[in-house]
Amino acid sequence: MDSPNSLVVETHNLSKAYKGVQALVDFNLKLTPGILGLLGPNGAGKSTLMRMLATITTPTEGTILWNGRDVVKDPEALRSVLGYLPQDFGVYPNLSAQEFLEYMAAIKGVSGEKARRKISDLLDLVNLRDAARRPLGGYSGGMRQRVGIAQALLNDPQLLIVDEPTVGLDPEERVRFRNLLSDLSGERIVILSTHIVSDVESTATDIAIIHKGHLKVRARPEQLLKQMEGSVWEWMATSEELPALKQQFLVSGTLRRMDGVEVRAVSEARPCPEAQPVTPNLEDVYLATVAQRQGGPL
Amino acid sequence: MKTLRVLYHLARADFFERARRYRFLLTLAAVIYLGVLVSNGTWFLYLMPGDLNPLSPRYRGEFNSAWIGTMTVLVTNTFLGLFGFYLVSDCIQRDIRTGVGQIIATTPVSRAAYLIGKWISNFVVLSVLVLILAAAAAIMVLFQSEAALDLGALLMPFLAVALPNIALIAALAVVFETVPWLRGAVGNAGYFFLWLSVVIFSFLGGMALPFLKDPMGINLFRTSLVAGASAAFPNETIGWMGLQSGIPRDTQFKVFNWPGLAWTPGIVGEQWLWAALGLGLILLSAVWFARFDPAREGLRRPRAKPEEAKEGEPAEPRKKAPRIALPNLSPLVSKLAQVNPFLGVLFAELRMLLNGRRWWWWAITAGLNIAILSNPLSVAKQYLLPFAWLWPLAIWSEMGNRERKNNTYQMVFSSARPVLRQLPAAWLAGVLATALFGIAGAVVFLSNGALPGLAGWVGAVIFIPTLALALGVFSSGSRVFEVVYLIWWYIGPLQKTPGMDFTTGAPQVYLLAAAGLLLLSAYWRSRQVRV
Repeated sequence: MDSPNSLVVETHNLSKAYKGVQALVDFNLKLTPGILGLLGPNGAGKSTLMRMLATITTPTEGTILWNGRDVVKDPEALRSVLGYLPQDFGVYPNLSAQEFLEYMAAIKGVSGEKARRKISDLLDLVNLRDAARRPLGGYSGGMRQRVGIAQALLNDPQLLIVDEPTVGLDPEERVRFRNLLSDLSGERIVILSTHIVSDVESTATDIAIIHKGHLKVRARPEQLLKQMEGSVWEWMATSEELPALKQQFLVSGTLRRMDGVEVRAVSEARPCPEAQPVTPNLEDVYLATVAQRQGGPL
Repeated sequence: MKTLRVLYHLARADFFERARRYRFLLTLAAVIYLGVLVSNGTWFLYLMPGDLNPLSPRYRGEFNSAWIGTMTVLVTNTFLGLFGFYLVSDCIQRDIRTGVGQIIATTPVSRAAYLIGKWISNFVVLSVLVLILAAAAAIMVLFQSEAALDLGALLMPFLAVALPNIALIAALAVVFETVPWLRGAVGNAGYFFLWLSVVIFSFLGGMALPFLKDPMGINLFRTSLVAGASAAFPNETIGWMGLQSGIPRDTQFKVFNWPGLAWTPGIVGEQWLWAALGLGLILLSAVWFARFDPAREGLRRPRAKPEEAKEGEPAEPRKKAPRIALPNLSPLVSKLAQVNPFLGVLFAELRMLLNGRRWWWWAITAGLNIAILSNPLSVAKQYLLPFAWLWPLAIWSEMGNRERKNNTYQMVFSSARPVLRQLPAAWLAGVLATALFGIAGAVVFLSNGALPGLAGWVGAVIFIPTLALALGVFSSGSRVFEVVYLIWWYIGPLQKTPGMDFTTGAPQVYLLAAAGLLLLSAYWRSRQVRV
């Protein structure tokens, strides 16, 4: 097994076209242990990138290297150390969680006794011990999601790719999962794709924003937040003013108060005399980045 | 060792997933019933004289273990040869449908190991059914036997013929699933004709391939049975074997002793070659199996809404995207729906039925209709119209189950009047589309003044989509209709079996049946809507 420090995923000029439509264009990325938060609007190319990294689909052009080995030519080099949780995944409804995980362990190449121990640990980890013998068909969406998380961790992956992993989880489970990701990231590479910016904010050590198949931003969260300093403002407005303000500024949030509406907006210049600068968050960064690429304000 | 363990777990999980379904219990019940039909003599094996004179006496063997085992295997192979395929051919599609496939695609399991695992699972499912029929045969020997139970003679036909045959069927089911365009109605229809050809070739004396001649063992057993009967009745010409249900009780039989086929390693090996062929086909299909790659699979995805980006397609630039202002919303009612809400739904259902066909599909439909118009009426009736009533199989098979298949049922069933408006509109759309597909038939019947033919045409236009809708609603899938209709089409419109041919003459019975089916569909849909 490779030592955590030597783990590297690299993509070089990665492109993917579906029937002539470019989903990803000349994508270059280098990842080392830690959590990469992958952000981007719908159709930006996130899922395509993750499917290629997960060896499900092959690029039209470019290479993907895992510790120097080309996984486009030799996907087996990665598969035994890969954990993948797709966004839309299902289960066999007539199998129990225990049986489903035994099945997944076998095809991931995890051996008998080791698999049993690992499944037992993971059932505890995802809080499904009591329901482990029940058919999966009777599980709630959140419980199924937890089964998905467990299967992704079965082979103790060195590269963990998770697509919208906290969808359907209740707040407590979401916090548990975020903590779990943080714990895991010390010794492996985690790619977390999500629309929930707060998930990225609380876990990611690196952030990449993809737009129209291009990598637009790649930086550490603190760098991105620093760049936005002095560009996020809050002020009170009336409900009647709100539609016009939304047309005029990049409004990243509104909050109803007794004396009107508290408006939060991204703008290089002070939007109005009463606006006060506030500490930026990743949602501001994300909206500003995507808006810039679309010709919006900023 | 590791590969064996992977295969074991692949097959085990797949088997449990299927065996715990309600549908599997129904299948078991159907097979047990088939076993009862065999053991109580409803299904009967006999030999006929070479002249095929229906008045001549027939021949049967003593009810010993060999005869009963052979008879049961022939029934098993004939039925499981067809229905077994449709029963098990869903294992890869299930992995696509559930999304488990995209997780499997990221594991080290090879294409070949995955497909072999599915093959073993299919084989085990069918073996359970064979085991039940073997038990039925043993019961028959104990209760009806004219000789003592001989387990070897009883079970050898199962071990040497039935098992390799189902191994081949299990493999074909997997192979068909590895080709995206063979997964639906085209594959189901293709397999039906393949099965039919094999049965016909087997009865005619087997195929002319070296070693691989007779997967169902029909010709193998017939040769031995005819030899046994000819030895018992040396002056009589015995040439044909019959396998029939509901043979009259007063039928006269000449009974002979048949100790069973003289099994040799060569015969057994030759039959098991079919299983080896199955394995070979599996390994070959691993070459083109796309391993759940959406770019190669052509996986069917829900149509993206106009405002959403398509899968793998960059999002449409939203000018000033963050500056969201509510547009002036107008009611989503088309002009047609404003005139009459039912017409609006009917138009939408019709568009849904006809959309998505490629140009060549329409070209063949048009070609069939032109051929009907330009050939004599007798040719059109005998050959061309039956094919016009088969060609749109894939369109009919979507009726009644499209909502489940595309997971839109929660939206459709919660819309206004799903039973009293949407379902009748879907039915009428099917009828109109069917009339369109075979329009030339109506023209030639009318122009020739052949009113009975026209009545049959009307019967077909109404009965086929009604049957499709009803079976689609009942089963929430397309396969039941595809299998039932293919068999019905073969026996009825193609073979012109009286009573089964809904395209000839008096269509009253089929119109009544259609009305009944439509009411039952409405009742069943109203239950689905409430649930």
